[in-house]
Parts: sequence; C-alpha cells; structure tokens
Amino acid sequence: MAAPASPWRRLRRDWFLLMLGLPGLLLVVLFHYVPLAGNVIAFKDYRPYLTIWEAPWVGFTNFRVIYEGDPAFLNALSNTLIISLIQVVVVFPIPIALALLLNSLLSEKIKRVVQSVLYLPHFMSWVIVVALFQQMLGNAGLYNTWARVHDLPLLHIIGNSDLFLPLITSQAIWKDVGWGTIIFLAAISRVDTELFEAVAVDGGGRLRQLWHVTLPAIRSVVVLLLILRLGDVLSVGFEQIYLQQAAVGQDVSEVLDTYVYNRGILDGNFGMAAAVGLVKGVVGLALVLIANKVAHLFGERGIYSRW
Amino acid sequence: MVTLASRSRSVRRTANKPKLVNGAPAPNPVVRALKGIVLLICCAAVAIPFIGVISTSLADQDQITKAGGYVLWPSHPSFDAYAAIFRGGAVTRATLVSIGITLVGSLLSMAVVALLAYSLSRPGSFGHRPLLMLVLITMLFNAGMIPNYLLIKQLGLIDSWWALILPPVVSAFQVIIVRAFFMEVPREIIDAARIDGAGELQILTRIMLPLSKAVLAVVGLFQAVAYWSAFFNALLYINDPDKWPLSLVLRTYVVDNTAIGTDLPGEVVPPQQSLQMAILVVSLVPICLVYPFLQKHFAKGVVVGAVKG
Amino acid sequence: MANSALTRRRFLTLTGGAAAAVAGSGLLAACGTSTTPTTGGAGSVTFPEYAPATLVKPDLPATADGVMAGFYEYPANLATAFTSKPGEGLGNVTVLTNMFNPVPPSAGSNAYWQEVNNRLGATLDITMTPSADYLSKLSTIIAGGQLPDLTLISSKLAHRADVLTRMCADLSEFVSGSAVKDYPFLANIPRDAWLPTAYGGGIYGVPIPRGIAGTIFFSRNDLIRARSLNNAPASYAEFVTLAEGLTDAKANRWAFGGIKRVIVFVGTMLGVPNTWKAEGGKFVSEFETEQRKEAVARTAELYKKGLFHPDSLGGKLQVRDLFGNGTIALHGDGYAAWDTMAAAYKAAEIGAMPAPKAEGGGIAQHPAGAAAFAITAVKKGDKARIKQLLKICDWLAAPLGTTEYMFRKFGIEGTHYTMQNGKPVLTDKGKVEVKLPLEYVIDAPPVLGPGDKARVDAQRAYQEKVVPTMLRSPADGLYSATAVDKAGEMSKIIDAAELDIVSGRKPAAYWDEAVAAWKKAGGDAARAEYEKAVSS
Repeated sequence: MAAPASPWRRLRRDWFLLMLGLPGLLLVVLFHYVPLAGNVIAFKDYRPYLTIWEAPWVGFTNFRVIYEGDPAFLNALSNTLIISLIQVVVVFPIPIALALLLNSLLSEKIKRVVQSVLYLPHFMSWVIVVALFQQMLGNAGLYNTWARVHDLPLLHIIGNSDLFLPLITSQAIWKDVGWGTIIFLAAISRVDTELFEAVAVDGGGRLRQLWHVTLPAIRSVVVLLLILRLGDVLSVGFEQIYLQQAAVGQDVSEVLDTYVYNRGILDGNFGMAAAVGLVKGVVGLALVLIANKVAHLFGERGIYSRW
Repeated sequence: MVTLASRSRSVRRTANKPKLVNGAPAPNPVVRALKGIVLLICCAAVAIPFIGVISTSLADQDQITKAGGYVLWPSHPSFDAYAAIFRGGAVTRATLVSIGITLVGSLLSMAVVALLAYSLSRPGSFGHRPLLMLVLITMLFNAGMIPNYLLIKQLGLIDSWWALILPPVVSAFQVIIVRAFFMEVPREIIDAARIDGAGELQILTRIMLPLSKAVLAVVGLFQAVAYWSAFFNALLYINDPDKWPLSLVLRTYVVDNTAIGTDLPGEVVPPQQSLQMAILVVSLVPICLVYPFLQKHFAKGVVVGAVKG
Repeated sequence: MANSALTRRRFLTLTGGAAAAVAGSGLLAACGTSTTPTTGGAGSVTFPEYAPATLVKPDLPATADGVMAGFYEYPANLATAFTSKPGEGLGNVTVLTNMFNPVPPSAGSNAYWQEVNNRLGATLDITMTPSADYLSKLSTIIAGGQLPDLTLISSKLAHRADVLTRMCADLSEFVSGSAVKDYPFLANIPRDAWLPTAYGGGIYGVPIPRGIAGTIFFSRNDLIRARSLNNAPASYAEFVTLAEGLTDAKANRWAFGGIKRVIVFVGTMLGVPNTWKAEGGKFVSEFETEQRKEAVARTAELYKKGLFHPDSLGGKLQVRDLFGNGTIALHGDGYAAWDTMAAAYKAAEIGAMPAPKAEGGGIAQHPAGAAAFAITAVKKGDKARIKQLLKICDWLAAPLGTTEYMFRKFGIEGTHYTMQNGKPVLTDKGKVEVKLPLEYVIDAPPVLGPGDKARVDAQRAYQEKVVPTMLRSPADGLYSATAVDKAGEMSKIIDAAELDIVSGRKPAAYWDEAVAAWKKAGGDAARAEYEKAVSS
C-alpha cells in the first residue's frame, strides 16, 4: 500500500481522508492564516488609526532592534537562551520522571489523589503564583519573619539577582510539572500489559520493565515534545518574568518578550512586535526542522518522517 | 476488537502469582518509602500554599490586615467574600456561559482535531506533508491582537460566543500529538480492517479512537482548561457583559494592583485579598470537577497488542 | 464668577510654574501678548471660560490656586438642574470606558441603569473594560475604524493626537470661550483639566477632572506619637530621624513600603522640577537635574539603612494593607486614598506629611498632580448630535447639590440608598447596581467630603499648605508626540535605573548612563518638540 503512486492516483485514493481533515484545515486557514497576513505590519509603520493598507512601508526599520546589536537586546537574547536551556535541561525531564513515579504506584486511589493535587497549581495565574512565593519565601515572608524574630539566618531569595534563575525555575516546576505529566501518563497508558508480563516471565524486575517497556513506549512522545519545545526556544514565560523584573533588575531578567514589551508594545508599537515575532517564528521553525532531522538520524519518527 | 479487554484480563489471570504488579514482584520497602516521601513532599509543597489560598478566602479583613496579606488559617471563617462574588447574579450567569463555551468548544475541538490528525496520519497519503507543515506553522507564528480582531469583526462575530469558540478549536500542538498517537497504532490492524471492507470512518471510530482514548482525554482536558480560563478574546470580542464568560467577569473583581502605582487618585478600592482568593477558588472548582471524568481514561487497560490476535 | 482674563493670566503663571519667575522672554512672549488664544496642542486654542457652579455654598470654598472645596454635610436642598431630558431623541448612545469595579448587572436587570436611560431620554450602551486591559480594547476599537459616540481616551494612548484629530469631533465651536455657557457644568470644570484636550488648535474632548493635590505622603500619626517622634519633620535630616525611629525590623515594622514615592518625596524636598523646567525657552528635564540624581542616591542610602520593607523592591506589596496594619508607617498615595483608607482601616490615625525643604526653612514646592484623569472624546458627526452628546456630558458633570449628582452617585432613594444621619448609605441592591462606571465618562470636579468634619478639615489644611505653591509642569498644555508615543519606553528606562540604584545593584553614578539612554529613547526629541511648541 505504501508503494509510490502518481499524485493523481493518490488524490483519487485519499480524497475522503482529506475531506475528514477539511473542517480542521478550514478553521486553521480562517483563524490562523488570514490574521497572519496582518503580520505584514512588520514592514510598515502601522498605527491603529490607519488601516493596514494605508500604513506606509518602512522596509526593515522595525527589525532594527535585532540587527543593530543594541547591548540591551543582546543581553535579553542571552538571558532568553540561558533560561530556555535550563527549562529544556532541568524542567522538561521532571514531568517524565514524575509520570513514571506515579505510574509505579500500586494503589490506584493514591495515584488519583496525588495527581489531582499536583494539577492544582496549573490553574493559578502567574500573579498568584508569584505572590504565593513571596508570601512563603519573601524577605518578609513566613520564614524570614519568623527567623528575624528568633535571630536566625535570613534567606535572601526573592529580589536576589543571583538566585533569579533558580527561583523562576522552581516556580515553573511548582506550577506546571504536575500538569506536564498528563501527556506522558496518556502515553504510558497505551503500553501493552503483555509486554510487562513478558519481561516478568523472563525474570526481569520492575527496573527492567521500566527500561525495556515503559521508556521505549513513551520515547517517541518525549522526542516529539522536545522537538516542539525547541520551536519555543525564544519565548520564555513572559508574564512570570515581567512580574518579577523590578525585584531583580533587568540585567538578569530581561528576556526577548519583555524587551519587546518594554520597548514597543507598551507604546503601541505593533510593527516592532510583529517584526520580532516573525524572526522568532523563523528561528523556531528552523530549529524544529533541524531537530526533526536529528531525530531521524537517531531512528526516531519525530514530527513526520521521510517516507 | 470485541475481545480486546477480555483477552487482556485472561492474560493477567494466567500470570496469577501473589503480590505481583504487572507480573513483577512488588518493589522493596525502602524504594516504596522513598517514593512515598517524594510524593508527600510534592503534595505538601502544593497543598500548604493552597490551604493558605482557601483560608485567606475565608478570613475577615481584620485578620488579613494583621497578617499583611495571606492567612494560613482563618480565625473567624466567613463566607462574605463568596457572598460578595455571587451577589447580583453576574457570576452565576457567567458560570453558565463558561460551562457552555467550554463544553461546546472542547467537544468540537476533540472531534475536529481527531479528524484532522487522522487525515494526516496515513503514510504516503496525498499532500499530508505540506498540510502538516501548514498546521505546524500556526504553532510558531502568531497574528497580533489587531488582525485577529479585524477578522472577527469582518465575520460579524462581535458579541457572538462563536468568536470565543471557533478560533482556538484547532491547536497545532494537539493535532501533532494526536497524530503521533494514531501513527503508533500498528499498520497491520488497519490493513486487516481495510481488507475486511472497513472505510475510513470505520477505521477511525472502531480502531483509532478506542485505542487513543487517553490522548483524546488529554485534548479534551487541555482544551477545556484553555476555554475555561481564556478571558482576553472575550475582552476584545464581547461588548455585552451579559455574554461575558466567568474568567472575564472575575477579572473585574480582581483589584488592579498596578493602579496603586499611578497618580490617579480614587481608582482603587482597598486590596481585598479574601475576594481575590475566593475568586481563584470559584474559578477552580468547576474545572476540577471535570477532571475525574477524564481521569479514568488515563488508567491502564487498553491493550494495543491484544488487537493483533 | 471669575474674570476670564484674570484667570487666564493666573493660569499662565501657574503653567510657567516656578520657572516663570526666572523665565526668559520666550515663554512669556508666547503667552502674555495675546488676549484670547493660549498655548495648546500644536496651535492656539481658546479654552472654555471657567464658570464655577454656584448651586450650593461649600463649607470651605475652592480657591483659584486649586485648593478643593470642602463639604461637611450633604446639602439638604437639592437643585434639579435639568428640566428636560438631555438625550431625548438620540436613541442609542454608545460609550466605551474603563472600570475599576466588578461588572454591574446589564441594563436588562439593572434598575439603576434603566433609570439612567430614562432620565437621559436615551439608551446608554456602555462597553466596560477592566482598567488593566483598557488600552488593548481601545487599540482594537480604533483599528476597527469606528469609534463609539463617547470614548475614553486614555492618557497612555500612543499617537493620541492623530487619533483625536482624525477620528473625533473638534469641540471648539461648542465649548470655546463663552460658548461653553450652553453647558454650565462643563464650564464648571477648571481650566487645568482642559489642557490635555487641546490638539492642533482644536478641543478634542471633555476632561474627567481631578484635584491637583496629586500624591500625598501619608503618615500613621498614631504610630509616630507612640514612639514620641515628630510627624512634621522640618528638614531632610529630621525626616531620616523619623524614618529610623519608625523602623524596627524585629517587630516587623518599617518606615516605607514603596520605592518610587520616596524618591519623589525626597526629590520634592530637594527642589526637583515637575517633569520639566523651562529657562529662557530652553527645556530641562527633571531627570537631567542634579537634584533628581541626588534624590535617587539618597533613597538608596535610606534603603541601605534598612528603612524599607524588605520586599518593597518588587512592587508587589499590598502597600495599603501594610500601611493600614502598621507594618509600614509612611505611604505615598493619591489624595483620594485618604478617604478610602480611613474607611477601611478605622484603627489607623492617618495624617498627611508635607515635604519640608531639605535644608529646612519651610515647606518645599510640591509637584502638581494631573488635573484630568483622562479625556472623553466625541465621535465625529452632525452638529446637532454632537451638541446633544455634550448635553449628556453636561448632565454627567452635574456637581454635588443637584438631584442629578445624587442620582448618579447613589441611585434612587429608597431603592439604592437610604439617608442615615444626613448621609446616603447604599443598600445591597445599590452596591451591586450603582457600579456603572459613569464617573469614567465625565464627572464633576472633585470636592473634599462630604464627610467627617475633622478629616475634611485636615485634608483642607494640607491642601492649603501645599497647593498654593505647587509646581506646574511647563509642558502642561503643550503637545510632544514623542513624549506621548514613547512614554512607556522612556519611563521604563528611568524606573529600572532607579530600582537598580536604590537596591544597590548599581552605583549612584549609573544615573547619568540611564539619563543618556532616556534622552536617546526620546527625551531629546520631546525637549525639541516642547521648545518648538513654546516658540511658535
């Protein structure tokens, strides 16, 4: 069936399949591609009181922030990359580990309770998460107030530029790790129980089950999510960081999105926002495609394979 | 197909030894204790601040004022904050609106995403690569607020709930994930079904969907949460407050903290922490109720291999 | 009624502020020679003649300097100012504004809203947006090409002049000079408030007036007294002594909770100009002055001494609550917060602290606050409709002493409020329904009270001390496109630098670097635009 056929014959064969996808494709085109055309303002001096057509062309002026090499921009870029790297290396694997841990629980009941509790923080807005962290760990938070009264050493965490990275990383873990297990649990749920039993019959223990059955079963999902995550490498939690910039200063906390916000969007400079958005998209797309190719080299399917 | 579940049960029965989990001996006590501790710490890290949230929502202004913000345990629990939220009926109506939007949107989304993912999941099918690329790109490039608004306006959807339901129906991320799950379904099963005369729709509904319940539950959950908490589209597209979803109505209750930093006098009421926390609780409860219904689909039991027989 | 020529001259001196005393000919020539037009936008505008309403006699009359009128009691006899319905025949009147309150029930189930429509003789179709998101909403509505009949134009909207002149009606012919007499309550809005409505020689909106008392540095007089400290420091040194005396970290008590307000307060002591100062037609930004740099450096010293709440850097503190519960003892806030806080924190004894001159010798000159919250623009259209929309604005501006005012603020007596001891008290229904943000469409000029006599007297006493010598910005009433369009970026640069220096992350000398960046980002361009506006 996989034998290559002429496009025409394939179309005749697959037309019904395509029809099934049609509603989704129409919605994609209408609600994503049509407004996407508005990104043409990246090359215009757009102001809301003009129509997009009326706004004058300005070439690559809006991209100036990127190619002029403004030190503040470069600082924002490097902070973004550092934070992104940490999120991929540190934060990304934790939900996988947690999902495996949850999966290994014997009691279905405990598992459900634990899951339900760990999902809760996902529903909180960043404003509340940041406030809760300040309430607990702040310089006048629960611990430090207590420590100050009892002459114990104070923990200077909130508002400490040196600890900003660990802080936002732990916030990200706290908020979304429980939620992040969902996809992996869904992947694990498909694992063929027969395979577990086969390992057991061969005398393998639970570690071997994990290694030979569970991990291979979720590997393709892990790879897929990692590839997609790379597409977002230039976007790191805007709201989370923006809310905490004042406390630690822009040197350590300015990232691409806050830079664009502070320099453009705040003043209604939609052209610049669109320009940076376009560049971020192109970089993301390139990374996704490269990562996809790399995945193929390792024999993974990735987003789509070469067949 | 029918024998799917029963077969797996029979397999398990043959491996009938004491204290077996998935056929392997139960883990040793040290490992179990360690797991318990890790999970306990995780749960405590979430639960303690959360108890603070609920306590603060029940605390009175005096106690909050004394504590300077959050309260770990309300000394005089009162439901004033909740009463204030539900006074006037706006919140009650908005809750119904949100439930409607969330239900319609999530179901529509699950259907459309499943169909699209399926139509792109056949190796070698016509045009699947460019179409997949078309979908993927929407994940990486975003249109700005203004072009989106102009489109909704052109479509005449201002003040219509469809303006909130339709744009987020297809999420590229979910299409790609669901497609990946579909592609894991062994080819032999599909080919066998086709030889038996099954059409595309039958393959989808009788093989793909039952074998991918878990991922569909994921889509449903993700979309439900997204629809439930979205407020910005409603802010831009819905002028009539009667049609506002809960997220937007509740946003008007949250004191604008930044206003304190401005020189505009009289624009802020005193910080009402308990109100804010009550709002958080109110917005959490319905979405938490959905979860148990979907959770069972994450449980083990669907055995792909059994189908092969 | 005030003589219009006199008030104009008065206004000009105030506009020039302290600088006017030493000002070169440029500014004076521009303003003093002509009899009718005054500065405004990028051209000349005749502002509406100020005619204070005389319906009720306040206990403490307003002064020409801008000290607000004070009332101890609600007037017993109300005047009905409108004999006919101002919006009769208009049909649907669309309005876009922001709100700071929970959304009220919509017209269908809101007796108050229905009665507003009934009394106006028109259907008020208000689109309300939470204040935090208002700019987004406004931008999309503008991009959509069609404005509502009345639109709140936020002071933060970029390209404000273009939006107003292209999309909104020029109201000059309706409100300029004596024409405003057709709308007596718009004539009751002081001239300071009208300044930001002028663009390109036209008047493009009606202001939502505010008192110029601006920000007040509030003090917890009970805490100060308990520690036998002086609540009226006469110099910077005494101020520091007070702050040190109020701080006791172990007891969870600090002097300050917010950085910015302390910088401004210290700057006031040091004589920092209000935004700009004009010398001989040359504009100098406050940021370029030594005093402003010094104010940041001194605040950094205060921070280093541990006088600030340890989490104040992030700006995420509930400062009012902290002030109310005594965790912090000094707190800068808008003048209207006085009443709000007094109502919320009954145990606290709230006072207002005027800034002394740093080296002693009396009270420093305080920066005047914005005289308008924002402006409401009227959609372009035929004259008859504009006139009637202005009539509605007039109705919305009816001041204390009119039945219209009482209805607007409190609803229908018996249904939405009851009079108790001469004060209106909202019923539960009133608390829910009378939340329609009409005060963010147009409002009457604010007054002190009616309320507790002691508090009104204290508020009045503070204003009498501070307001007559207030520093106006010479840029008030001038339009610089750069200052508006780049406001966000420019203030970010300054704010970030202040926090960097105060926190000790950067040395005080870093200020010069930040100001250079500020100039490059638009400071220099704004200066040039102001100088051009003055000389034209």
